[in-house]
Amino acid sequence: MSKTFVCTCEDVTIDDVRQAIALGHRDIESVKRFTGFGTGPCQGKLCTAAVARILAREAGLAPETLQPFTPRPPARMLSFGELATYPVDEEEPPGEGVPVPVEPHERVGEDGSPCPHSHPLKPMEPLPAEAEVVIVGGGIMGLALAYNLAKRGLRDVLVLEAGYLCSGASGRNGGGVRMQWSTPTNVRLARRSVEICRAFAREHGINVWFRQGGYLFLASDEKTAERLERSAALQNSLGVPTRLLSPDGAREIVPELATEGFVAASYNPEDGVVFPWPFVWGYAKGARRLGARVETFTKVTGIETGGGRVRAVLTDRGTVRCRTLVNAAGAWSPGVAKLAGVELPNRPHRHEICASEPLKPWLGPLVSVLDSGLYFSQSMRGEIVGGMGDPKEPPRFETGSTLRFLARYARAIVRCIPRMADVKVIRQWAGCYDVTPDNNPILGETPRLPNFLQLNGFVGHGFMMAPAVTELMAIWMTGGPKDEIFDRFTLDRYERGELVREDFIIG
Amino acid sequence: MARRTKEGDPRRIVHLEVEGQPIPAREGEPLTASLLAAGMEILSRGVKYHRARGPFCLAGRCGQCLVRVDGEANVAACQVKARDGMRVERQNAFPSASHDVFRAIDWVYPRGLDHHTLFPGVPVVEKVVARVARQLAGLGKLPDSEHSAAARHEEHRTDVLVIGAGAAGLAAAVEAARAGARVTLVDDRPEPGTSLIAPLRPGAPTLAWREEALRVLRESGARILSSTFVFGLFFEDGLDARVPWAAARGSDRTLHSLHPRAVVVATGATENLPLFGNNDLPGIFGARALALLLERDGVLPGERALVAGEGPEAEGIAALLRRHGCEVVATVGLEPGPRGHVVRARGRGRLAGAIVQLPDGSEQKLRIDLLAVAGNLSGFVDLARHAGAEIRMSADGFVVVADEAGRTRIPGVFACGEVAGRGSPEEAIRQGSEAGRAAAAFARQEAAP
Repeated sequence: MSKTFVCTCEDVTIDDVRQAIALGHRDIESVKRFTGFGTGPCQGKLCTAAVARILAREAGLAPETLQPFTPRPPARMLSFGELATYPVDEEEPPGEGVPVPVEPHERVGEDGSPCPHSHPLKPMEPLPAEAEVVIVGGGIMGLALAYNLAKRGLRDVLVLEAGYLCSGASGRNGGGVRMQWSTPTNVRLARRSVEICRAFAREHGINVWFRQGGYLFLASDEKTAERLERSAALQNSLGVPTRLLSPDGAREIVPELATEGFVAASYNPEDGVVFPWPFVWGYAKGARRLGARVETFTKVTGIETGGGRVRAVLTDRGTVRCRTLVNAAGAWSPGVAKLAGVELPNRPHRHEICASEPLKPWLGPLVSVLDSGLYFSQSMRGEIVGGMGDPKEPPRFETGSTLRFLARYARAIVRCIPRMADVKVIRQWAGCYDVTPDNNPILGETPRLPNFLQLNGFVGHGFMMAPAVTELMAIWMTGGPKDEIFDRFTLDRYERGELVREDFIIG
Repeated sequence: MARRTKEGDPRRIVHLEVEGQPIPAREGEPLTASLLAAGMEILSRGVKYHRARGPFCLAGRCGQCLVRVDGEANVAACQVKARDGMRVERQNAFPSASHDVFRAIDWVYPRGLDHHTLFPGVPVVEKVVARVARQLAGLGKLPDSEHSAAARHEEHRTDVLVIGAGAAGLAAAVEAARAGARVTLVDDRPEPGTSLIAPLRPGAPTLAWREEALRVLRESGARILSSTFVFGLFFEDGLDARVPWAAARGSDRTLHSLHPRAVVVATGATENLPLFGNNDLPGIFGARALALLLERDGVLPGERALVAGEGPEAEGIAALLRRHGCEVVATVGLEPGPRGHVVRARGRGRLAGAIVQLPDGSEQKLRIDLLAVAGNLSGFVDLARHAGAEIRMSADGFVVVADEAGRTRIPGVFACGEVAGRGSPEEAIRQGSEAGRAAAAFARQEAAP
């Protein structure tokens, strides 16, 4: 039997594209993510037009809506050693980056408020007039909550997503799942998430390639080393097998590591990395299978309130009355809350990330330098995927890619692993962290609007927290016990001033 | 079987070390030419099914000729110049790329292997699969050494930056220079006008036209950077936030920041994979790639050819192949039509034949060892899109939306030639010339106090 390849970089056949369409991936960004076409060394130069034509012919897309998937710099591979030579002014904030938005629907307000333009792929059929629960945001939080609600018998759930599944931070993160945290709550939630990750493929019939290669944290100064020590003691007391290591001990785990400049390390072999996209699709598929509705390319345009309650959600596909409204819109959450007259303190912060050329496996754990926020791991496809926060990044809604990031990341990773100097970058992109003043989420009831529930503010670790947090939230929403996190992390804690800060934030 | 066709080639003969074996090469030729001429048709193995792959685009844009060169992984062999003692290894195969045991994956999964639903959640099996999948993933190995050569950074300022030195880019650069602008011309090919060396369309500019263009540019003091690719158009930290600047990488490991007052994107089109069965077999080339291999490199990689495609380039490559002594057994289409079309290619490890369907529905089996895909193109729109230019689908694939003078929706960003849907040489030169003049005028305005 012969195979017809649309993409020879990632060995994607025409049948793979057809299967993706049959499973409901009907836009080019989703087909790219589901099949992997265009993600290899050629970055779509030889295959994108062909896939677009197949979509037009077989998924019924209007020819005038055909666009290539978003191009990601660099347009051709080049090495970290070369990128590291680009001068960076550490005093100046980074620019907006590229690509520049073309379509009106791609633009959003400074606070993430939705723009009035509908997506060209907006479905034509109307939404139901009513739903028990409406969840705004089809990222990992919203979808996992819908799944967990449906699993507990609450099936009249409608998830509204403005773009395609994986278009937000859930499709843009590094996939890390770790138990090394500095507060007991986060350690407890992360432990439960790791259990769910282990069983995910069995429960959902889709591989998430959860690989427990461990997390190796490095500290460059004594103050950070003390943080590692304190947190390791806490983690050990909760049964997490974190070990403190000397720099030489770290090198036994990653022999390519250059240890100069590092004073201490911590390592938990049970931390790991998943492939983020199938995690999102798995929850979406599970939610739909159990009767929940997941609607993509659908914009929320307003929230109707009255008598101290949310009454209905206004969308570009009609109005839906609901009993409970959940704000799971990640970095877009303040914009959604504002539609109901609610101010959230969350602010979007861009975090950039990149992937290298695919290499044969050599790196076991995810490595992170806690002081600088540098992190990197090797994916199941062999790419070194990593990022590093920029202290000069202002709060704003921005997902462009900059050369400044590649240069800063290149310098940092080559310092850690000198042999990365001749490894090439294949693709860079960015997503927004949903940052709260104390680095902890905003959960539960909204003051003065008790049926408006918040599920946001996860500061770059929502992906790994979602499995555990949504399970607890679904238990509470279906009449079960209310976990203390839904009392402790409510929006009114900022008025009360009862803040506990999480300081193990990376990226 | 490939053979060299140039008599009395003046280039020095050097020796490469390919997987421990000495292979003769002509100094400075693309590594792909050396390997093909030495009878090495399989340059890589597919990432998933480990099928044999050979070069297709010879322009550094496909991923089918990635090899390990002097310890560096995933280097496009078509972009590397052969050098005495150069160490070359093929990747992702065991025990060798010529005979790779993992090729069995392709036979075990004749209908394809879906990694999403491969033994999901089956206890023990799941873990074994994950371990095996991880070991099989990736292409090249981590580089051996810590630094191959020191890299450096350079800043340049210019009035008009032209990206791409094909017909449209050269025309734009010449007209911008004639209008008095300082011009920088950046091109990813080894010499400006590489696409003019082996033209496939009637009316294509001659090499004399290229020489004249280069003379004008030299006399105007224009800077020409060859073997240098622009990998991003950015706005921040630029000369003027209104006009994007270009980040480029030269083959000598130099990173260039190019700050212009106007940009002309003339990045041309990329030969795309045709969609028929076994379209990945070694021996299947883009027509433009094949023309360059014949005319520039003097390597004929087969004896019996099938040309698949429509339009003037199909006729052009058929004529060129015949002139080089290759038999052209048929010229057919890629889609059903009056001349018939390719259903699938045949062969184990390299092209040996093709099944062609005729308009009456009957199938014909052809014995061939070379297949040229003509006119299956899509504009290389990525750079224009970085800067915010609008893209649309056309009969020629994706193209940048630009007017007759190459203006896009972004001030100071111009696009011309094939990337802007002007496929014929006459149209490309006309739009390129207009864009060059318009860009020079824009730059002058930007420079005004």
